[in-house]
Amino acid sequence: MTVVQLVTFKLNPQAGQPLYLQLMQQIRHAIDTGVLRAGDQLPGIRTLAEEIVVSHNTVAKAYSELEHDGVLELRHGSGAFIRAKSGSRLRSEKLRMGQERVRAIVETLRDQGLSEDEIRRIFETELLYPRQETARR
Amino acid sequence: MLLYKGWLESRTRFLLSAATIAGLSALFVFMNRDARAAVTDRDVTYVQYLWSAIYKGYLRDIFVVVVLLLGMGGLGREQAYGTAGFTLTLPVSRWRHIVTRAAIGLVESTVIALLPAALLPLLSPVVNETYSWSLALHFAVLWAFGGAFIFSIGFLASVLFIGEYSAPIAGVAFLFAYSIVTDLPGVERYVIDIHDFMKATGPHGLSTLATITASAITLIAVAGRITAKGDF
Amino acid sequence: MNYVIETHDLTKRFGTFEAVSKLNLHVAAEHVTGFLGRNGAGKSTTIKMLLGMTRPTSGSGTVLGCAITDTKENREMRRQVAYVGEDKQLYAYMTVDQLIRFTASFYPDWSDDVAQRLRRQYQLPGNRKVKALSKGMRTKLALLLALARRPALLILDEPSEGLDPVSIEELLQTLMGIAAEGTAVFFSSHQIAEVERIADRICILDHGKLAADLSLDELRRDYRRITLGFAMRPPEHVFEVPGVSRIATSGRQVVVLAHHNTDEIVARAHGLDAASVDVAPLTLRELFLETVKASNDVAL
Repeated sequence: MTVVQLVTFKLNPQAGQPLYLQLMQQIRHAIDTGVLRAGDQLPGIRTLAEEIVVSHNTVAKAYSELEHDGVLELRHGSGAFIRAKSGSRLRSEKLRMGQERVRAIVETLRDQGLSEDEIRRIFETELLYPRQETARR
Repeated sequence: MLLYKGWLESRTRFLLSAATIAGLSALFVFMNRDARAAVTDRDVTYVQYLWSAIYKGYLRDIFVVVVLLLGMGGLGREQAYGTAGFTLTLPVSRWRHIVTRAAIGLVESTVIALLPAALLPLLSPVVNETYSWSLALHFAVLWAFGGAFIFSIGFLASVLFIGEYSAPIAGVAFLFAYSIVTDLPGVERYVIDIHDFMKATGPHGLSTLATITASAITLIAVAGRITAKGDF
Repeated sequence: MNYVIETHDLTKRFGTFEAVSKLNLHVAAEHVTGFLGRNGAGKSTTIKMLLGMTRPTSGSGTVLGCAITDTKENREMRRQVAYVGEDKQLYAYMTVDQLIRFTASFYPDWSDDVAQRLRRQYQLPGNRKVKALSKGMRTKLALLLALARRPALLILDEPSEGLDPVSIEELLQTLMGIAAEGTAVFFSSHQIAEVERIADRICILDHGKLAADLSLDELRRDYRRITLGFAMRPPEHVFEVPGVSRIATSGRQVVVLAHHNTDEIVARAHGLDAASVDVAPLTLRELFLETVKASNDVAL
């Protein structure tokens, strides 16, 4: 019998990103870092909505999209389960490499005399651009 | 459960009023020796004395005020208290609210009207006097109908005037004006003086009872219509 | 789309003052919908018209498919609707238990289990008179009476007013729980931060009119504040593209509010050699302030 994993998520309503996307990312992150493993059961939609105080539509959409992406398996009546995925180890590798690259960039910017806030704002602005704009520039 | 709510809302007023009327009635009986001189300056019989004290003056006026106050309450007062939203969003028609409150009030005013009628014959033997049941019943009927009319005035006032004190003040003001108007010469032919009616000096036949009943029902119906069509 | 609330040109006039003006509201059953507006914008009047407390001057509406102007239909609809108003006063002369029994008698879907569970959770003593309850406890009792009837639609007017932060958190959790179970939630609130957390959609009412009606996902995904700095003051009209709702210039800085075409605006800014380009999301508070301010300005 699987026990529902007590994972909590922190969504930011003002981050400029739909909450369901944030939730999806955090669930993926939890899987990639091993906090959630294949076969683990996530809380039901109502339970999670109550716990993180967010609309059930957000949870439902996140679960549904993740099911569509093959990350979750929604079993009618029993709940949402993490699927075993071969690509997950690759992803945590990607994350680690990404983190190293960002660390290098941040170090460089610090050396140039930029403050923490300035560096953060540059990252946030970049992330808010749609991808084509970045390619065009 | 609207009856339950209506009862709880009016319970304190009703019990205080009933206690006052009953208490004063009993007092007039027990103190009849001493009070007789204070109430009238003539040498009168026991029955006449009681008529003076209760049905003509003092107690009748208290009864009128008490019954007028029984008419208070309703959605106007609830609006002042902030509960109108809760009451109005119950799945109940506005007419049902009105009829329930009116019914409770009429029953309560009738009960109070019957108190002197019950107590006078009952308590008189204690002071070695007698008071006939039929006379008591006669006055009970007059007071029941008169009370219903007074109640309906208070009831309509509570719908027309919102606010804790404006409705009873308006009701009293109306009654005051009413008694002045009916005392004007020539007016008694057209308008029943309810005060005279209740002390049995005015006309009190069946047609009078019917007119009073019709008037009371009309006032309550007007209050009902105003409530039914009103914005809250 | 299953609409629990739908209005068509709903209008309410008090003398010459139009409190609600040709309102076309659409609230879906599956959404948690926030209703925002300044004091006096017409929110409470709108809610009162929906619930049959106030008669519309013109226009029509339905709640749960029932015509709001039909007295009988409106009354039947109220069996499945729970309303917790701004006043949050309850009958002072009743005890908690009496009030629960009283309210239960009107609602066929009443659940005693829910009522007793909430009574324990909110720590409401059964034999205490309502007049002896604090405002916070009264609010919770009002919420209990609303939830125990298991409504199809819950309408709340400033639900967290008077509650301490812990109680507010509990309230929001409870609302999310019942929304998940199928109750449509429609609430008006000045607490923009709370609305931002829990609502799927918001409607902004300003001077009796619907000034905005959008999903918060849309707000987060598409709405942007683009702050541009220039060496020399640029012409504003360069940035008048579709999707822009407001352009404001102060000195050598231009601020553009857009719900669309952000990349086009950024491209034009670069075309004019912008010294700085800052793209930030628009918070609900900013959207609200912009929306209600805009009604006093000339709109684009």
